[in-house]
Amino acid sequence: MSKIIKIEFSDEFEFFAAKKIVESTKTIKFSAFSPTPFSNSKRNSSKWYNGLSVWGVIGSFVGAFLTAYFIFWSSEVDYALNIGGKPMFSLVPSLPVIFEMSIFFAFIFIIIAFLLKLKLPKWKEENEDCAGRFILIIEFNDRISEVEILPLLMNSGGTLAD
Amino acid sequence: MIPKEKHNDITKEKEGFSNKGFDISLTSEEINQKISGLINKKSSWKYWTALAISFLLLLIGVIAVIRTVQQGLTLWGIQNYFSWGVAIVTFVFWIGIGHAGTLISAILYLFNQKWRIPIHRSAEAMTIIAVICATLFPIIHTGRPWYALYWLFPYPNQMGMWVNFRSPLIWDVFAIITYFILSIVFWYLGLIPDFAILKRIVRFQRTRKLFDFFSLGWTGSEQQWKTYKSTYLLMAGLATALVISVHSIVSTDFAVSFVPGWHSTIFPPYFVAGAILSGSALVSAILIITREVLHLKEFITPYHFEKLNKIIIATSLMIGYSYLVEFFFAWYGANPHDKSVFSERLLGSYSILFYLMIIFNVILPQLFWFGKFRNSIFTTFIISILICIGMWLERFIIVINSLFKSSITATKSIYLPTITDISIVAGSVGLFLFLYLLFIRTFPIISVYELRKEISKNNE
Repeated sequence: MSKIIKIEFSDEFEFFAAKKIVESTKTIKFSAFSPTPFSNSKRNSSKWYNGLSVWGVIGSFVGAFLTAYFIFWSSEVDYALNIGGKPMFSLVPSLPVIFEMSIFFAFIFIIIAFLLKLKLPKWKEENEDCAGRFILIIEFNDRISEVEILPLLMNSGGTLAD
Repeated sequence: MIPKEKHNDITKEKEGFSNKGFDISLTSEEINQKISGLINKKSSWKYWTALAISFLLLLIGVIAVIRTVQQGLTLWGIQNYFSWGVAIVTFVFWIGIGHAGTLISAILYLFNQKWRIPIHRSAEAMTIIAVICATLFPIIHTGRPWYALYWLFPYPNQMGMWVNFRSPLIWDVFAIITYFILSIVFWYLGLIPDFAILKRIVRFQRTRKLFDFFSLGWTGSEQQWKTYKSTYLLMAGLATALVISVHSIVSTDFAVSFVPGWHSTIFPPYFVAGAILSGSALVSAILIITREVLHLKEFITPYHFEKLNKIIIATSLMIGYSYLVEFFFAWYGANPHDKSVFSERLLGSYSILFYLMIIFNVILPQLFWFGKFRNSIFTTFIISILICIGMWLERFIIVINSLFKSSITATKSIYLPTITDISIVAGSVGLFLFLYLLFIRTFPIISVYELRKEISKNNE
């Protein structure tokens, strides 16, 4: 029977010290929450890259293609302006619009990927009360690890959170 | 005898300021309390005075716009040859101002410059508000703002004919809208973790609910921070590309025409440098106002103004070089119209404005080579305001002087802005200050999570 305990720390130093202790066990499952950025634990440090940049690149190509096609369609198909037998003249003067739209689509794709990856917005979040606090939620699967680890965490400044 | 520079460092260290320019002796709790205090506490009389002045300016502008709508563009000083009056001058000016926000926020983030932390939120807000001010001018300039969306957006007209995508004015529409949307999202992205921190601390129930809603359910988990950091980095990269492209496109409005004085390949880099100069100057000016009205002296320190002043020196030299190159091209080139336009700048009807521009944009910023001026808040404020005026004059000279002395010999009349023109420009300044002042009392003006992270890193 596993037991879940929520421990709060008053500052970064206590929090990171406690996190290190839990990480060193390698067996205890835990979730960490902090108001300041962190992602230096071993289990997550394998890759900084997490797919968002790929979505950005895909978005930029989609944006560039759609805009170029739209400009072509509007000036060649929908309202063809055949002046001197050169309806499009050249695609080059349309490049600024294509460039801006490729950036715009890249950014839209990245934002959507960001929101989907983190499943945001999620206003009724289970751990909503962890926002803005240093919290470790630890799942103890056996009595021995709880007896060994919990006092260490309490000594490093933790208090049981509500 | 301790050298002067070392003495300054020691003094800063004693006061608790690190080489990042903010007070490292503060604890996380103190930072939370101070930043939330800005939202919780009643505003000072200085704040209300600044708000009242900005509202008065805004009111003047609104009255001028209402009169323009009622009586038409005849109230403006524009004529056949000066169809682009101060409206386009002020439009380019505000777009330029909008650049420094992204420069400070995105480019300095990419270069890992920690001194940006206490000031980038203000700069980002400045970007958004400046773009709002800029966007109003093409809309008002149409004379019938209610038709403006129909005229400006890529939408086929009654004959089924599409807008010309090869027109620089359409490039502007796309560039500015993209820049505006990206700037808002980039600014909001930075605010999400702060909303999550501050929603627990702010006193007012309504603000708390608002922050809770906009925090999107952010908890600060490891997964969230990891994804957040890479998203922010990518957004900073995209914003940097936009900073360069948007003002290049705005400058191309001029450069692709055959008007003497405009038809020049130096325009894009020249405009980008000018935009950064005017933007950095305005960032300095509004930060000085912010630190005064909100008592933020432990966060926004002379160290930040010193850094901004160094950017001002660099960009003012670039601008000075561009002015010189323009004259060189006119002298060395074979185009008599170009020569005529540039000799008119030196000796003609608007020459006094040209010399003021040179003094404000090129000569005065050189005072920042001296530490005494660079570190002085008072000097920084005065020179920053004068640079902003100088940069507005630069756009005035580019637009008006070239149209005044163009290749059409029949052009003889002189353009003078009317009281309505000046009122609308003053109104845009009022709108900018009014929105900025509302922003600094409603949102966390300093990035709490970044500041806490940096201070904890320092204390490790």
